[in-house]
Amino acid sequence: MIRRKPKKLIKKLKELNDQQQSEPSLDLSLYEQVVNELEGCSDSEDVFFPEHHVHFVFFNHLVDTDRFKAEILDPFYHVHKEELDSLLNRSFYKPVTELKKIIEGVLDGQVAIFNQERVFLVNVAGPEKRNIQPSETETTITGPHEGFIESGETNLSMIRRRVKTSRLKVNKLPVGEVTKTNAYLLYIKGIANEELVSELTDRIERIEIDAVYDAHMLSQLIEDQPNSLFPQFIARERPDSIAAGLVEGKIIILLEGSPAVIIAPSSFFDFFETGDDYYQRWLTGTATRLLRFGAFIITIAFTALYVSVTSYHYEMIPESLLTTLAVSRGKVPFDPIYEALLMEITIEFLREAGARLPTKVGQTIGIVGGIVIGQAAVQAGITSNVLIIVVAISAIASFVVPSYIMSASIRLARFGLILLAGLLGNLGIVIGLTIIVIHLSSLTSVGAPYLAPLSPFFPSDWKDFLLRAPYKMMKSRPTISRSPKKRKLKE
Amino acid sequence: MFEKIAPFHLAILIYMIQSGVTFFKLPRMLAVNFGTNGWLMVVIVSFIVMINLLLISLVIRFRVGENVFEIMEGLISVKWMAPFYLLLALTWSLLSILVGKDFISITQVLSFQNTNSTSLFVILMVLVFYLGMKDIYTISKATNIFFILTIGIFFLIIYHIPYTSLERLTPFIFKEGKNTIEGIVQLYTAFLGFEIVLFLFPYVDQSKPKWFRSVYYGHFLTTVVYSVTCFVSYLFFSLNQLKITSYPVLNLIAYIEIELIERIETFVFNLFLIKILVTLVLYLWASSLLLERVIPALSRKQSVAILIITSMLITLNVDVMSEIADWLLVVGFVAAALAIGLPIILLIVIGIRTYRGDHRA
Repeated sequence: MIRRKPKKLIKKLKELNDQQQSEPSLDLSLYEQVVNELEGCSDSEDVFFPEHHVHFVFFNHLVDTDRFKAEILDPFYHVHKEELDSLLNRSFYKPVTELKKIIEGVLDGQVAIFNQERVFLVNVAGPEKRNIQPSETETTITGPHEGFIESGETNLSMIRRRVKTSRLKVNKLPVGEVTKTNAYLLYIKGIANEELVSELTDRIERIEIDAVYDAHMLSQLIEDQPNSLFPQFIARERPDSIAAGLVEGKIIILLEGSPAVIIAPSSFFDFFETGDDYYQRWLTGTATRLLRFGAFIITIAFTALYVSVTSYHYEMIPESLLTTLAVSRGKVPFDPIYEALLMEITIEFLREAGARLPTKVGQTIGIVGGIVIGQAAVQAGITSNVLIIVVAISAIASFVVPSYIMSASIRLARFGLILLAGLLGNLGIVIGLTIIVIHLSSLTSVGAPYLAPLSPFFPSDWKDFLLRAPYKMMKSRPTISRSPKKRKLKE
Repeated sequence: MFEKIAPFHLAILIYMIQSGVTFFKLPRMLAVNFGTNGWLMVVIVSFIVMINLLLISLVIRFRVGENVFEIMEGLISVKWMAPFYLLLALTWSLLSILVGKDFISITQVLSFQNTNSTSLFVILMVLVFYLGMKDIYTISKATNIFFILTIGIFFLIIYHIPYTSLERLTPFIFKEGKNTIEGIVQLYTAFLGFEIVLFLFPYVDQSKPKWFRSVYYGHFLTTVVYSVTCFVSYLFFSLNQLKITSYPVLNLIAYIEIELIERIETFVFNLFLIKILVTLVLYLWASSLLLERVIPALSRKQSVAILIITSMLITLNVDVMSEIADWLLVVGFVAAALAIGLPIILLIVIGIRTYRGDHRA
């Protein structure tokens, strides 16, 4: 369970902390305090220009060497003593007086310049980052291909380039007592609900943890029900999806060092949408969406139904199919429940092994799995042909669900249903589905009902739910955004 | 913003509380008690229920207080009302448990002949507790999904149209019936559940002045489902067949055969667990409100658990189908009397308070 600090205590602690940090010690100069603070950081640099009494403190690997040379070193080499003041008065030399800010700046890749009692921060940050590439977990066929990377600033720039309005506001919030990772909370003023913005800001500020490394981790720390099997915030890796979220009145949370970006609030059905739905013709988009919901039902219930029918309800199988099934199951020595669990777990082994191995070895796993499990297991009489088909269809259907996190949750829930089907047949499946429905109904995402727009029923949102209606019809923002400007287009 | 039950959802909730396990027995019950063209009685009794609903709507319109408790306690203090509250809570929780037992007994006959019915019943009660401990908005949200999952069953009736025959209706009305009065009471109990609206209305979004219409819509849906199903049963089976078939609706569903699947009644009947669950949970929810009024220190979880355990203990030895039917008849009769009596009592209280000059809250 995540403990969150009470609001008032945080404020007081912050004030105390700020006071302590901002008041320079009477005995030591700011430079000495910074050096003391960075003591033991052998990767920090301290360059001294004796003729100007100037120290540069920075981390070499966090700054762009060329920019550092051009904008700091070269000017100082060539400047005369009497020109030093005008050099330091350049606008991108930011004067600072607080120890905390200096340390934070240096850790952010800025260079701290100390000249007697004056201190300046110059931003020449240039950390190594990978190039912008298509997202691997959220691929698209027809839409834009660029995906977010691990640099928060690059991700912000990708969003800003798509949403060119001064009303796009960004709140910067450090998370993690040790790592101080920057989280950015983005929203469009006037479209997003301000109460939700302050609620989410509050939740982020109240996180009490040493480090946050990824947006998925952050999302678990700020969810309404962190113990649930199901994710309550969707995380996307593509700037077009995020821009769409912002325009819908949602709030976006970006975390430094993570290519995943959180959209809040989210509904259960958001996890079944992809960018392609919107870029294809509306009928094709709708058909694909329906296919995905069909896949969801197959993923969760198909294997369980097989177990139930073959264990308890043979009467449900038509006569023509019964012979085939009886022949196929005739040799198998196990109960359907064990047979199904064995195959489902094997499929999960294959999936996990394939996900962790390099691509080339991963292919081998696929072949080994396909041949050994598929053919040999049937020939050896360990499992039936029909079950192989059932398990394979369920596995394929599970990958039709676009969100990997949601797909994993559904797959786990499926195991529960299989066990219940093995125990109580059709009644077990109904009991399992009932438990899932009750649980999903009790979930909320920043207070918004998780099963909206299906339950509660929001008819205006159905144009972008099972249907992907033509754009002319989609005139309102989703109800769960609780946007003060429900209708789109009208300013 | 979201913490109110919209009128649309109230209609669904009312339909889901009303329709339950009786649905499967209804055509037989009509055939035995009313004889030929007994399905017409569904419409007649539904009209009587409408009058009952009208009484409830009058209570809500002229209420002096935010809820039923405030109306009552404006005249008689909670101390004196406590026994009445407890009696009401016990009746409804008993009804709830007996409906659950009835469902489990049919499940056992259909699919689990060798399984102990107590274990199945305990599983059902765990589900009831799981949903019952949630707040009413969550219950309403879950009910919407349950409605979507189960309403399709009604449309299976289309399959039978080619196999029906108008001749089976016969030109006689209500001939060969056994006991009309008992039949009316039983039919009335099949519609029960609507009285819960007396406890639901403080949680309903009342921004639309005509929100109470949704209660009528919910009841109308129940009437349509009941009467159409019974009508088709009368067209499909002969009167004597109906009289000797225990669960005619299940037999109707069992008749359906498609390429991929047969005998779907085993699945469809289990799907009815969901509908039963809503009926059970809503009765227990209202009972828990009553219990918490008497003992305010109780939490929702505790009150639901106490009600379930108490009712289970009282009905511990009631596990044979005929015993359950007898108990259901008695408790159902009391519940029907309460459904009619409670709004009348409330109207009298409102009348007295208005006469005394109490202000409307």
